[in-house]
Amino acid sequence: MRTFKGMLIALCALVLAGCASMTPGNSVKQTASVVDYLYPKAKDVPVMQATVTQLRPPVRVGIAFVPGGGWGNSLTEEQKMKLLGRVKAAFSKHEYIGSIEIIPSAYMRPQGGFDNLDQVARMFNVEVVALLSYDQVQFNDTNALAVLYWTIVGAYIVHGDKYDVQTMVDASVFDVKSRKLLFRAPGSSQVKGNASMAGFSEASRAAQTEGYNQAVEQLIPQLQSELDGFRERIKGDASFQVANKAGYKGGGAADGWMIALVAVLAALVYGKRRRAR
Amino acid sequence: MASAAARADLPLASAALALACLALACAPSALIEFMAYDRPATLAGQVWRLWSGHLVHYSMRHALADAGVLFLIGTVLEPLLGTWRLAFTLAWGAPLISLTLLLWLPEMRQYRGASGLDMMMAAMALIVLWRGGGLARPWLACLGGLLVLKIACEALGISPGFASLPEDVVVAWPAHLSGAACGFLSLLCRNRARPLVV
Repeated sequence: MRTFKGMLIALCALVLAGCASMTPGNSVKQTASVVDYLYPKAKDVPVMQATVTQLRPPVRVGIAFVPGGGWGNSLTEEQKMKLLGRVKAAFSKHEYIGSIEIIPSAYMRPQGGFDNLDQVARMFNVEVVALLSYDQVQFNDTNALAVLYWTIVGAYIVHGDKYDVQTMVDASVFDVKSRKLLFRAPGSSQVKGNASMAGFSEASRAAQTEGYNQAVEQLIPQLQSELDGFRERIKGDASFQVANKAGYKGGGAADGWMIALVAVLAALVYGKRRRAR
Repeated sequence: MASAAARADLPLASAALALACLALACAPSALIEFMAYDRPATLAGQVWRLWSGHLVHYSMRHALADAGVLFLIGTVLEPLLGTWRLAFTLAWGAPLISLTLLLWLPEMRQYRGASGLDMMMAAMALIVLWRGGGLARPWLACLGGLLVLKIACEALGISPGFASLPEDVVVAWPAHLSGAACGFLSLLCRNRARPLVV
């Protein structure tokens, strides 16, 4: 009997532990760092060469998410494209931006470095690339209602699990040729909510997606502001040289030939008028 | 009577346009950019740029050259054609020139300058004088040939020397070509020009 009681207690403890293990871990992290992508396994501080960055409006721009682990768990490629489309809209409002290409994630190699960036830039024929890096942390906790999970039905209807999703998205814009960071703009968000144990996974995934959406929403005005400021900032910066591409700006100008031609015509007409008087 | 004749000889439309060009050259850059031909903005519905793009310039030197030629050719053409007739012709010619740029030069995002209108008025002046017999036709044929040669040189990238455009701006020769074409077209439907008063 004593043995039986002992086994029962052990079984209960096992079941309890099993139930406890059904709740998600304390935190989940998804990250894709632009530093890890561009400078993989870098032990020394990258040395920048003092070069003059040449920008030739209208600049061809590529936009891509930095490859990283875990992203695929929360956003589909279609959703990523939608987010990149919003960033694209921010760029397209500026006259000195020419074509804008959205680069699918499949072309971005994890830890690919500038070599991968060069390849992608050549493939999509872009001069400047805006890399979107992200860092999302999800904290999971339970509240007092979680005790009702023991009723089994409660696991489906009681919102005893809490999540707190904190997202940071950063757009870093690089000139591919000179490898210089032109400017950057951040965006962040925090999404909190509750869910039942059964619906926690779905709810937290939706919260992750919403977190990215809100962070990108906050990033857009910052990016606009940086784009506006960048044009003014480089005017006095000797390390930047801006020369328009041929045909970007056109003008109708009366040149010496035209002036001479019209002057001769006017002289002939006025000469005739004078002789006629 | 004499004052009425004198008033008819005054190139009012040309003078107003030239003055507008010069005044806008001194305007704030925001206003100039608001008026300039800008392909994406025009395609987005800012259709006034089809007209106003001809009145704004890249620099005062650019505006002076264009406005000077416009006024000079206006003193020849306007007394022959009439102020209202000229104004009406320029009013439909200006957007046609811009539309040509829209179709012909999709890579060109900006355009400024009145030389398309200059070219239109020059072509019109040559035709009016040809029909009115105000000048010897060999002279007019010679000047017309030079006009065509000038556009051909621009298309080939040959510069005549004096250029009023800033270094990073290319000559939009299709604007000149369409301007000249509009000038010819405008008088095709007109059976007779007002005789040249000499």
